[in-house]
Amino acid sequence: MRFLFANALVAVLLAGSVSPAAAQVGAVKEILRQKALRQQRIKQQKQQKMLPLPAPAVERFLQMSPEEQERELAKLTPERRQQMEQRLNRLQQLPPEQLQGLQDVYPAFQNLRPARKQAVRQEIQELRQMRPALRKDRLNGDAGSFSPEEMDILRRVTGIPDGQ
Amino acid sequence: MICLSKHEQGAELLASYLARTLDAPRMAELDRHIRECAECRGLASVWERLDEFAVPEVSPGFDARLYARIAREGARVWGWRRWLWPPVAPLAAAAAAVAVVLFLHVPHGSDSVQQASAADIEQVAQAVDDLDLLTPIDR
Repeated sequence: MRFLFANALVAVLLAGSVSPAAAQVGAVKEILRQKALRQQRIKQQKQQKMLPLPAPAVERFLQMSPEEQERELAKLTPERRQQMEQRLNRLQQLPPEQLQGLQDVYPAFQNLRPARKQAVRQEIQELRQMRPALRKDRLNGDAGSFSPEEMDILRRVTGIPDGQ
Repeated sequence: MICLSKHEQGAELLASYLARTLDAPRMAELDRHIRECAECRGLASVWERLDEFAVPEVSPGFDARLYARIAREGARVWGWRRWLWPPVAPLAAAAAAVAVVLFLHVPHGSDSVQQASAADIEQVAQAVDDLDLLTPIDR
């Protein structure tokens, strides 16, 4: 019994000597600060009637504190980081109607099988580089290579409805 | 003639073939070859089956939670009485103290996000790429 008591005392003393109360207060403050940041972002979204981005992973990232975001971004190569920051910035400045469009398209895209996702990615990249008139012809010719769900994604992204 | 099982870039070719992103003559050539070569036919069918599985999104902090669970399961096997064994007890007390110190000194982020790995941020970057790509084209 005395042995156990001595061990417990050593543990308490060790903990007490290296973790002053200030550290605990700092940790609590940090948690409160991050909660406040998150609430502020939610409030901003409500005030501006901003729609969240439909990708949960991206929303989680956006809800991190700037320090946390910095820590995460540091794991990427400088080029990848710059690319991601530019794209994210562009997404955050999207007008509401384009953001609304993404709300439907992204989940449909996520439901595709990996190989089909890759095929749709490649097709969109090519469609983006075309002049509008050529894009329409190309899209109408795509019907044979893509499923109706995939064609719906391509049509939503290009804004060319069926039958045009 | 391209044989996927012998070609240096067989795996890439197969992935492109299944995604139907090869040019038409190459697709036709592979179609013909896969009809004739049992080995390549087997490869293609296995890959197609693999493709049917949807890859679930791994939540942030998955690794940390997994390791914590493994540690908990391991501890259960040892049994709590084992920790009272005299030579182990001081070590356990010291380890507990170190854990408390680390817990208090590491800045607390949003719980799960805190433990995010490099794979998580790559997942975010990929999602950002896709969102950017899927943004309706401004006409």
